[in-house]
Amino acid sequence: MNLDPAILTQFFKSGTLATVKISLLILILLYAIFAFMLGTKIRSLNRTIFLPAESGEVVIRWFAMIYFLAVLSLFIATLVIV
Amino acid sequence: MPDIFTEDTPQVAETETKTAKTVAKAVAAINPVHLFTTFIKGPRGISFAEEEDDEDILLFLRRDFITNVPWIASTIGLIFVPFLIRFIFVSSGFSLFTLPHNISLVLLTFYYLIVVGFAFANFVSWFYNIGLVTTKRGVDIDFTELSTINVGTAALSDIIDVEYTQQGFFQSFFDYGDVRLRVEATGEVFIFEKVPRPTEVAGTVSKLIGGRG
Repeated sequence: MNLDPAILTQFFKSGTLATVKISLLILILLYAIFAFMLGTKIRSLNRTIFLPAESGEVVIRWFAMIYFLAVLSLFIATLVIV
Repeated sequence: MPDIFTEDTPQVAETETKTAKTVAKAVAAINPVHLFTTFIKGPRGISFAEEEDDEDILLFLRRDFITNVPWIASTIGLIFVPFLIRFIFVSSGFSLFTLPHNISLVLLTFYYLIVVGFAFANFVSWFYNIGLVTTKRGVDIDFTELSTINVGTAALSDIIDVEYTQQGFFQSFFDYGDVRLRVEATGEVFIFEKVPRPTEVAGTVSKLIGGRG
């Protein structure tokens, strides 16, 4: 049985693409866990030491949350656009 | 009515408390703590989980800001890496592979998120590495490798020795160093790492422990 080379090329292309996509998703997911962990540690530290608002503690907390959301958004974007 | 039971407070402890209070009054200037504060006497609006009602914070310490230079430089370098790679590939006319536009976009975004994360994690690690000297103890909060939070305290009455070290050109030039407090009971050494003005920190702790150090 002879296979059409065009079909084979397409198959390998889509196979490679799927591998890249899955690898990227795994990496981003692992990174999202890291980002979440960072946020949790910041929350935990804020319970250990209470710094005043002008010290930037609030900014750091918000930044950690925004950062986690950004990584999560990238995960969803990868799922959709790649 | 006669006293059935009266608590005998040790004389030494009383003297130490008095000394501590005197020092507290001397440095009780009201000072706000800002984002980049590394050394402040009598900080305003700071407290910690196990702080007692009659306890005053005398010194607030962080690693000297100059210790952040290596990771700031690395971050700036990392920002330009994609441009550099692109420049090398374009100028040499060499192409390893061509990625679809959407994949390269995701990769580039992910890369920059990692760079931002690297900088943020380092900043947070510096921001929450805090040393406190109160009228009753020394508190050292360490946040290292993003997975370890270590909170150490040493009662002033247990500290037997205070010393500081400034090693190398940078520590001498920028006036920062390690302050080591030796704890009597365990023989453990309690370190405030790379704090600014180590002489002043060691002096304050030395006064607090009543010149025993």
